[in-house]
Amino acid sequence: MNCEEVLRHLHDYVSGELSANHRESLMEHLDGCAACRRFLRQIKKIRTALENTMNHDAPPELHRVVREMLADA
Amino acid sequence: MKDERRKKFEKEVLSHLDRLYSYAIHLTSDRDDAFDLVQDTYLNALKSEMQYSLGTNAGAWLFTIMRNLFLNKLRRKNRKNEGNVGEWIDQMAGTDMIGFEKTKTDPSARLFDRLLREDIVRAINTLPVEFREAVVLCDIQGFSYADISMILGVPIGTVRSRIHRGRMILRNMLAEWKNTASKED
Repeated sequence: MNCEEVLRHLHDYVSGELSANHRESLMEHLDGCAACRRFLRQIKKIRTALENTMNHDAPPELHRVVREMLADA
Repeated sequence: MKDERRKKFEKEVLSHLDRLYSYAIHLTSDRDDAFDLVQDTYLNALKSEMQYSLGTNAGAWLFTIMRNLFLNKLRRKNRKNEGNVGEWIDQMAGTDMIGFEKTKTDPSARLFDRLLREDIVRAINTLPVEFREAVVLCDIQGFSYADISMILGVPIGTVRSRIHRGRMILRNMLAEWKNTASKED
Protein backbone atom coordinates (compact mmCIF):
# COMPACT_ATOMS: atom_id res chain seq x y z
CA MET A 1 0.00 0.00 0.00
CA ASN A 2 1.46 3.38 -1.00
CA CYS A 3 0.78 6.79 0.57
CA GLU A 4 -1.91 7.66 -1.99
CA GLU A 5 -3.87 4.49 -1.28
CA VAL A 6 -3.37 5.01 2.43
CA LEU A 7 -4.94 8.45 2.21
CA ARG A 8 -8.09 6.93 0.74
CA HIS A 9 -8.27 4.18 3.35
CA LEU A 10 -7.46 6.48 6.27
CA HIS A 11 -10.76 8.29 5.90
CA ASP A 12 -12.67 5.00 5.94
CA TYR A 13 -10.61 3.91 8.95
CA VAL A 14 -11.48 7.09 10.87
CA SER A 15 -15.15 6.57 9.93
CA GLY A 16 -15.02 2.98 11.23
CA GLU A 17 -15.74 1.67 7.72
CA LEU A 18 -12.47 -0.02 6.79
CA SER A 19 -12.49 -3.78 6.22
CA ALA A 20 -10.24 -5.96 8.42
CA ASN A 21 -8.19 -6.85 5.37
CA HIS A 22 -7.35 -3.26 4.45
CA ARG A 23 -6.91 -2.37 8.10
CA GLU A 24 -3.97 -4.72 8.43
CA SER A 25 -2.20 -3.28 5.37
CA LEU A 26 -2.92 0.22 6.61
CA MET A 27 -1.37 -0.47 10.02
CA GLU A 28 1.72 -1.92 8.38
CA HIS A 29 2.14 1.22 6.30
CA LEU A 30 1.54 3.52 9.28
CA ASP A 31 4.23 1.74 11.27
CA GLY A 32 6.84 2.94 8.79
CA CYS A 33 5.42 6.28 7.55
CA ALA A 34 5.54 9.34 9.80
CA ALA A 35 3.78 11.57 7.23
CA CYS A 36 0.72 9.31 7.06
CA ARG A 37 0.67 8.98 10.86
CA ARG A 38 0.64 12.78 11.09
CA PHE A 39 -2.18 12.98 8.57
CA LEU A 40 -4.19 10.42 10.57
CA ARG A 41 -3.71 12.46 13.76
CA GLN A 42 -4.94 15.61 11.99
CA ILE A 43 -8.09 13.97 10.64
CA LYS A 44 -8.85 12.40 14.03
CA LYS A 45 -8.33 15.76 15.73
CA ILE A 46 -10.76 17.45 13.35
CA ARG A 47 -13.33 14.72 13.96
CA THR A 48 -12.98 15.04 17.74
CA ALA A 49 -13.25 18.82 17.49
CA LEU A 50 -16.44 18.53 15.43
CA GLU A 51 -17.94 16.06 17.92
CA ASN A 52 -17.06 18.25 20.89
CA THR A 53 -18.13 21.51 19.35
CA MET A 54 -21.32 20.73 17.51
CA ASN A 55 -23.28 18.33 19.70
CA HIS A 56 -26.08 19.85 21.72
CA ASP A 57 -28.28 18.33 24.41
CA ALA A 58 -31.97 18.91 23.78
CA PRO A 59 -33.51 21.24 26.40
CA PRO A 60 -35.51 19.49 29.18
CA GLU A 61 -38.68 21.22 27.93
CA LEU A 62 -38.31 19.50 24.55
CA HIS A 63 -37.84 16.13 26.25
CA ARG A 64 -41.03 16.78 28.22
CA VAL A 65 -43.06 17.89 25.18
CA VAL A 66 -41.98 14.91 23.05
CA ARG A 67 -42.61 12.40 25.86
CA GLU A 68 -46.08 13.83 26.38
CA MET A 69 -46.76 13.75 22.65
CA LEU A 70 -45.82 10.07 22.50
CA ALA A 71 -47.77 9.25 25.66
CA ASP A 72 -50.94 10.94 24.37
CA ALA A 73 -50.83 9.35 20.92
CA MET B 1 -52.92 0.15 28.28
CA LYS B 2 -50.24 0.48 25.61
CA ASP B 3 -49.32 -2.51 23.55
CA GLU B 4 -45.80 -3.89 23.51
CA ARG B 5 -45.10 -2.58 20.03
CA ARG B 6 -45.89 0.98 20.99
CA LYS B 7 -43.73 0.78 24.12
CA LYS B 8 -40.78 -0.48 22.10
CA PHE B 9 -41.38 2.13 19.42
CA GLU B 10 -41.36 4.94 21.99
CA LYS B 11 -38.17 3.66 23.56
CA GLU B 12 -36.39 3.42 20.21
CA VAL B 13 -37.40 6.84 18.93
CA LEU B 14 -36.83 8.66 22.22
CA SER B 15 -33.23 7.49 22.41
CA HIS B 16 -32.42 9.76 19.42
CA LEU B 17 -33.86 13.00 20.80
CA ASP B 18 -30.56 14.72 21.65
CA ARG B 19 -29.00 13.75 18.31
CA LEU B 20 -32.05 15.01 16.45
CA TYR B 21 -31.89 18.31 18.30
CA SER B 22 -28.20 18.70 17.37
CA TYR B 23 -29.02 18.03 13.74
CA ALA B 24 -31.98 20.43 13.90
CA ILE B 25 -29.69 23.16 15.26
CA HIS B 26 -27.32 22.45 12.40
CA LEU B 27 -30.13 22.68 9.83
CA THR B 28 -31.98 25.70 11.19
CA SER B 29 -29.28 27.65 13.08
CA ASP B 30 -32.01 28.72 15.49
CA ARG B 31 -32.93 27.15 18.83
CA ASP B 32 -36.67 27.84 18.55
CA ASP B 33 -36.85 26.55 14.99
CA ALA B 34 -34.83 23.50 16.04
CA PHE B 35 -37.28 22.88 18.89
CA ASP B 36 -40.22 23.03 16.46
CA LEU B 37 -38.47 20.88 13.87
CA VAL B 38 -37.83 18.12 16.42
CA GLN B 39 -41.48 18.21 17.53
CA ASP B 40 -42.67 18.02 13.91
CA THR B 41 -40.28 15.13 13.29
CA TYR B 42 -41.81 13.13 16.16
CA LEU B 43 -45.33 14.02 15.01
CA ASN B 44 -44.53 12.71 11.54
CA ALA B 45 -42.83 9.65 12.98
CA LEU B 46 -46.00 8.90 14.96
CA LYS B 47 -48.12 9.25 11.82
CA SER B 48 -45.81 6.86 9.96
CA GLU B 49 -45.25 4.54 12.91
CA MET B 50 -46.47 1.43 11.11
CA GLN B 51 -43.96 2.00 8.29
CA TYR B 52 -41.13 1.50 10.77
CA SER B 53 -39.94 -2.03 11.58
CA LEU B 54 -38.96 -2.26 15.23
CA GLY B 55 -35.31 -2.92 15.93
CA THR B 56 -34.12 -1.79 12.51
CA ASN B 57 -32.69 1.71 12.32
CA ALA B 58 -34.72 4.33 14.14
CA GLY B 59 -31.88 6.89 13.93
CA ALA B 60 -31.57 6.91 10.15
CA TRP B 61 -35.37 6.77 9.80
CA LEU B 62 -35.90 9.80 12.06
CA PHE B 63 -33.06 11.80 10.48
CA THR B 64 -34.55 11.14 7.03
CA ILE B 65 -37.94 12.41 8.24
CA MET B 66 -36.33 15.50 9.78
CA ARG B 67 -34.26 16.37 6.71
CA ASN B 68 -37.25 15.97 4.38
CA LEU B 69 -39.42 18.13 6.66
CA PHE B 70 -36.76 20.82 6.77
CA LEU B 71 -36.23 20.85 2.99
CA ASN B 72 -39.98 20.94 2.33
CA LYS B 73 -40.41 23.87 4.71
CA LEU B 74 -37.53 25.69 3.08
CA ARG B 75 -38.90 25.06 -0.41
CA ARG B 76 -42.32 26.40 0.63
CA LYS B 77 -40.68 29.45 2.20
CA ASN B 78 -38.60 30.05 -0.91
CA ARG B 79 -41.63 29.72 -3.17
CA LYS B 80 -43.43 32.29 -1.04
CA ASN B 81 -40.47 34.65 -1.24
CA GLU B 82 -39.94 33.84 -4.92
CA GLY B 83 -36.48 32.64 -4.04
CA ASN B 84 -34.21 30.63 -6.29
CA VAL B 85 -34.31 26.84 -6.27
CA GLY B 86 -30.85 26.58 -4.75
CA GLU B 87 -31.36 29.35 -2.23
CA TRP B 88 -31.59 26.97 0.71
CA ILE B 89 -28.00 25.98 0.05
CA ASP B 90 -26.90 29.58 0.43
CA GLN B 91 -29.06 30.00 3.51
CA MET B 92 -27.53 26.98 5.18
CA ALA B 93 -24.02 27.89 4.12
CA GLY B 94 -24.36 31.48 5.26
CA THR B 95 -25.47 30.85 8.81
CA ASP B 96 -23.20 31.52 11.71
CA MET B 97 -23.08 28.63 14.14
CA ILE B 98 -20.51 30.05 16.53
CA GLY B 99 -23.28 30.98 18.97
CA PHE B 100 -24.25 27.33 19.12
CA GLU B 101 -21.05 26.00 20.55
CA LYS B 102 -21.37 22.95 22.64
CA THR B 103 -22.72 23.63 26.09
CA LYS B 104 -21.99 20.22 27.59
CA THR B 105 -19.42 20.28 30.36
CA ASP B 106 -17.44 17.11 29.78
CA PRO B 107 -13.72 17.46 30.57
CA SER B 108 -12.51 16.96 26.99
CA ALA B 109 -14.66 19.88 25.83
CA ARG B 110 -13.41 22.14 28.64
CA LEU B 111 -9.85 21.32 27.75
CA PHE B 112 -10.43 21.98 24.09
CA ASP B 113 -8.78 25.08 22.79
CA ARG B 114 -11.39 27.79 22.27
CA LEU B 115 -9.72 29.22 19.20
CA LEU B 116 -9.72 25.86 17.46
CA ARG B 117 -13.37 25.39 18.41
CA GLU B 118 -14.36 28.67 16.78
CA ASP B 119 -12.25 27.87 13.74
CA ILE B 120 -13.92 24.47 13.44
CA VAL B 121 -17.38 26.04 13.50
CA ARG B 122 -16.35 28.65 10.94
CA ALA B 123 -14.72 26.00 8.75
CA ILE B 124 -17.71 23.62 8.77
CA ASN B 125 -20.01 26.50 7.82
CA THR B 126 -17.77 27.38 4.91
CA LEU B 127 -17.93 23.88 3.44
CA PRO B 128 -20.15 23.42 0.37
CA VAL B 129 -23.45 22.06 1.67
CA GLU B 130 -23.22 18.60 0.06
CA PHE B 131 -19.86 17.96 1.77
CA ARG B 132 -21.03 19.55 5.00
CA GLU B 133 -24.09 17.33 5.30
CA ALA B 134 -22.04 14.18 4.79
CA VAL B 135 -19.34 15.24 7.27
CA VAL B 136 -21.91 16.30 9.88
CA LEU B 137 -23.80 13.00 9.64
CA CYS B 138 -20.60 10.96 9.80
CA ASP B 139 -18.31 12.85 12.17
CA ILE B 140 -20.82 14.57 14.45
CA GLN B 141 -23.81 12.24 14.38
CA GLY B 142 -21.76 9.04 13.99
CA PHE B 143 -23.83 7.44 11.23
CA SER B 144 -22.44 4.69 9.01
CA TYR B 145 -21.96 5.32 5.29
CA ALA B 146 -25.00 3.09 4.61
CA ASP B 147 -27.19 5.16 6.95
CA ILE B 148 -25.96 8.44 5.42
CA SER B 149 -26.69 7.05 1.99
CA MET B 150 -30.29 6.42 3.13
CA ILE B 151 -30.69 9.83 4.79
CA LEU B 152 -29.28 11.82 1.88
CA GLY B 153 -30.68 9.57 -0.85
CA VAL B 154 -27.33 9.18 -2.64
CA PRO B 155 -25.16 6.09 -3.33
CA ILE B 156 -22.60 4.96 -0.71
CA GLY B 157 -19.74 5.80 -3.09
CA THR B 158 -20.96 9.39 -3.23
CA VAL B 159 -21.20 9.51 0.57
CA ARG B 160 -17.63 8.23 0.89
CA SER B 161 -16.28 10.71 -1.62
CA ARG B 162 -18.14 13.65 -0.01
CA ILE B 163 -16.79 12.77 3.44
CA HIS B 164 -13.23 12.39 2.14
CA ARG B 165 -13.34 15.64 0.19
CA GLY B 166 -15.15 17.50 2.97
CA ARG B 167 -12.54 16.51 5.55
CA MET B 168 -9.72 17.45 3.20
CA ILE B 169 -11.22 20.89 2.63
CA LEU B 170 -11.61 21.33 6.41
CA ARG B 171 -8.06 20.23 7.06
CA ASN B 172 -6.60 22.52 4.40
CA MET B 173 -8.72 25.44 5.54
CA LEU B 174 -7.67 25.03 9.18
CA ALA B 175 -4.03 24.64 8.20
CA GLU B 176 -4.19 27.79 6.10
CA TRP B 177 -5.81 29.81 8.91
CA LYS B 178 -3.23 28.52 11.35
CA ASN B 179 -0.42 29.60 9.02
CA THR B 180 -1.97 33.03 8.56
CA ALA B 181 -2.42 33.44 12.33
CA SER B 182 1.21 32.41 12.93
CA LYS B 183 2.45 35.00 10.44
CA GLU B 184 0.34 37.72 12.08
CA ASP B 185 1.69 36.92 15.59
